[in-house]
Amino acid sequence: MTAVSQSFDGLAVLEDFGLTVNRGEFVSLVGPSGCGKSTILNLVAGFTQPAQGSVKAGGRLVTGPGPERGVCFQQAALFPWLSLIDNVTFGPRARHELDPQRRARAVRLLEEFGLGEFLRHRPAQLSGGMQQRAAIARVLVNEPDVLLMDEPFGALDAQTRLRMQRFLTEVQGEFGCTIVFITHDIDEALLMSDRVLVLSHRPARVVDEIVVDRSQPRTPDYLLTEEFRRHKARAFTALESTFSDRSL
Amino acid sequence: MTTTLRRSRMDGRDDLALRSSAGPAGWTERRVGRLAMGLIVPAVLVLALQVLAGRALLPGGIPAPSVVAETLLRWVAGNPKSSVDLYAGTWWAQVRGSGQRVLLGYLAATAVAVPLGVLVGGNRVAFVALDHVIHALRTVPAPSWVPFSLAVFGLSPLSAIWLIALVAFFPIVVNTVIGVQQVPAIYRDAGRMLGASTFVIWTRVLFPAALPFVFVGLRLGVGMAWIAVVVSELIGVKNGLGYSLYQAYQFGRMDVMVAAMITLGLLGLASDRLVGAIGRSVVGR
Repeated sequence: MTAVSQSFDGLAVLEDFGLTVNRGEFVSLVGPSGCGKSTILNLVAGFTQPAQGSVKAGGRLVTGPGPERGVCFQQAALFPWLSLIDNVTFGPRARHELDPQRRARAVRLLEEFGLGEFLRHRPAQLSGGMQQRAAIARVLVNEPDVLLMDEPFGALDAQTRLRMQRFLTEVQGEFGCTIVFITHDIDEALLMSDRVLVLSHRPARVVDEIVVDRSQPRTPDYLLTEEFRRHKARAFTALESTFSDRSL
Repeated sequence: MTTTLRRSRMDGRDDLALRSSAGPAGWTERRVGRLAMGLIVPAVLVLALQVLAGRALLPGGIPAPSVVAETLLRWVAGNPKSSVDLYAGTWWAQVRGSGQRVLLGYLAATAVAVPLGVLVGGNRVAFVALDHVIHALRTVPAPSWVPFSLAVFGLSPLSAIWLIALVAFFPIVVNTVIGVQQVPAIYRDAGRMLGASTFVIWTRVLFPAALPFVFVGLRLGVGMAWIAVVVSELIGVKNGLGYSLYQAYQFGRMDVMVAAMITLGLLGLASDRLVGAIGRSVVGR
């Protein structure tokens, strides 16, 4: 996205904001609440249109939401009246693209995600972590160019969150998808990302960019390494600076 | 590649929320218990009336429950040829007459009210244009539509069906509108993000998401339909439970009047429970 400006009720949320994410990259956006993280994601998703500037994905101008840009919300937002398998095949069915191959792919995804026994269950019968995994499957079945995730693990308990982070890292390793991940949890961002962008209070701008060495195995052990502590300290300093900006 | 994922994949079982329903054991007992509880109040009422009737304390010629029961039995199962009671054995014909009217009117109301409600609830322009119209018409009492129905449809079965449809229409449409309006915006967003067209969003997201409310409307609507059928049978028709009720009044047959009222109440209750059961099986949550 280039030179994007956006404001709500006269409140400038984004001013001349630019961001580029490369194919296959895992980029996290961290920043104080209300800084415009979700606004950025909604623009890329196509839920909202920029007042100024332009948003491009895969070389094409974004004019609305589409299956090539999959979104995972903070709530799993599965359709409660559909079974898991019907939720995951909703996209292909809605686009009249549901064939036996797509269906088999949906089943395979759910099986790989540890949900093979629950194909006929309704979302409400499953735990939050399971719902969130199904939500990821629902998006991946469409083979998106990019996965846009807005604090998808924010509503989960700490244990489940750790396991979901591990899970997402593995999913990215297997599918090689591009991921833009929004969180306010620095640990989470550093654990999974190739690049962590620290955003300022609104109007949001990138105050620091931390590149995480890819070769590191992203297991919870990584949280104990010297490198991780260094990155975390840097991210904290960057975040702190945004608060002093605000109090000026 | 899949092996890396499978190796440490989450098993799923361990964090499955335990929300299994209770087993079949005890189900029948609870069912019977509930039925017994539900019969207490009607039984006490009937008993009290019977005692009062026995001491000639019931005013205005209200018949004793035993008399009503006898009449109802004869009305349902009596032989019209051998009985001196001209109502004997005619109950089914009246039930069929009223039931057909209710069914036709109710189905017509549903066919129009549900799509219209989805449209008004989901589209801003339709809401602004139509919501106040619906609510203005809704408050016009059913009996005041009777002359209108007669003027338009004449003395025909159609005027009765129209009146029933009209009365049942409003609770269905109003609840459908509310149902669609309370659908969380995130479902719409999720649908659009998955590539659903506007039409698919309406039919496969907004409509199913609103179904619990639609069924609230359908339950209220079927009750209203039974109220309306009695009003409708004041005019234009020569059979039905409402017709029998007025006729019985003119013949001074209080027992038949009360039997007709009991029949109407039971049929109303049965259709309410039926729509409720259909709703539960369709909505399933």
